[in-house]
Amino acid sequence: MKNILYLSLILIVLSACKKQDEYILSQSVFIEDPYNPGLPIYSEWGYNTFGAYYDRAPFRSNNDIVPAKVFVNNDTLHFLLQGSYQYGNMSLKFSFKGYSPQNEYELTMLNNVVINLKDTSSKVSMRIGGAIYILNIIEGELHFRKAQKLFVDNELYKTILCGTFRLKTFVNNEPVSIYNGRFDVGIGYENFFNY
Amino acid sequence: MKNIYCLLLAILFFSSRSDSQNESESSQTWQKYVHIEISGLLPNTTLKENIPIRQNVSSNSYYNHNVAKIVAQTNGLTYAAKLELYNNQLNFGFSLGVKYWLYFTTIKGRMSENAEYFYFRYASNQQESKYARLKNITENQHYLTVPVDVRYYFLNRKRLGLFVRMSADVGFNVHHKLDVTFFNPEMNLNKTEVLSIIQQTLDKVYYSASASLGFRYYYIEKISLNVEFNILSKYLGGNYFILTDAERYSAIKASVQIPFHLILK
Repeated sequence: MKNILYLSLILIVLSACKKQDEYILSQSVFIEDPYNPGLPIYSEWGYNTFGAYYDRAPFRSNNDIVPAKVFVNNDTLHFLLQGSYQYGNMSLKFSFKGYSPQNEYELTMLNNVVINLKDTSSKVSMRIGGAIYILNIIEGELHFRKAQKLFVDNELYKTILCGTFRLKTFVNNEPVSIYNGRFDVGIGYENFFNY
Repeated sequence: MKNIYCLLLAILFFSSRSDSQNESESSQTWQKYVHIEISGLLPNTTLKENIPIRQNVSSNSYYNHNVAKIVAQTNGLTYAAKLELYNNQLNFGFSLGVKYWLYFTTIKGRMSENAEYFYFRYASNQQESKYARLKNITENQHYLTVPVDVRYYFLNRKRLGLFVRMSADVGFNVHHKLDVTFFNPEMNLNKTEVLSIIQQTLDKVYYSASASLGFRYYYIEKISLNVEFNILSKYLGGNYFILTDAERYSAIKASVQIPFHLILK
């Protein structure tokens, strides 16, 4: 009886710790890149940050909005980055066909995948302020350098997606570039959707 | 501050006799002393960048609720026995002996108020990344060295002497141990795998140099006490710590100085 009580206590403590870890590991750790001021360093830790220069001004994650979401519908995977740009909100969504993971752990299929953003199977859209733009890509690529499962104390927690992106496009008939893009995000139950 | 200096000078003047009276009491130019010494060290260390610990401090934390921190600290202790050959006309002494150094490094951290652990990445490949929740990582090393000292008294009175000392140590590592404490005791099965990530070869040969300022209290021809404070120090060459980088250290040293003829009696 004593052993059962003792074991129950350990299980309760460990489950509380797991909830705490889920909270801690979903927070953003922004470490500024000294070579690219305003952008986070490129990392592969699941720091829940991203950043890129949009015509020299930084577009980057913040502490208020979930930085990344993945949603899968039929054969299309949508990778959404949400953050701030020049005191306002901005988001960038990459959509590409041919990938349909059933859950967040199957995102490892993206490991070392390079998406050509000019390809007809890819689409990029941007929301800045209240306006939504479907971008006409001149050139660009999205590279998932690492897509790996994260284990904490031998327990599976989430999937870390990290990589780089850059593109050139037209906005309001003017050419713009989004470059030096990097992301290091954790995808778990709270930001993976399959419908 | 000025008053303190005047008071110190007055104490030095009135509590001592002149050097000429010292000479009359001790006719030999060269005298031998045995020093039994203990010192506390505080190396100036920083956590090595290649230790794979997940950072928890955001450089633009909007809400100041973040009490997360990682702390790396190294402390040290030395024990030494030396024989000093001292020239009482030149106020100059030369020592040789044996010294044992003990260093203890700890890395501790907390993720939040209720999470007294940090994440240590012990495996990473294309498909998986594994973290362990650690309470701490510790490193113990011991070194055995031969210290070579040169001491000069710039003020040498009967009961009080002020000196500077230059020291150099050469020796080798005699003990090294790394250990981790897991937050989850079940992870003890993975200890070898976790430690293998940071285990590396340290330099076996140890060199360091330092300069200190000190004072001797009591008669030089009797058992007296020395206290010293490092003013300069440097680890010369080599990689002496796995967990931290250190270039110099602060130290405070106390030693008992025994005239050799008292030991022979």
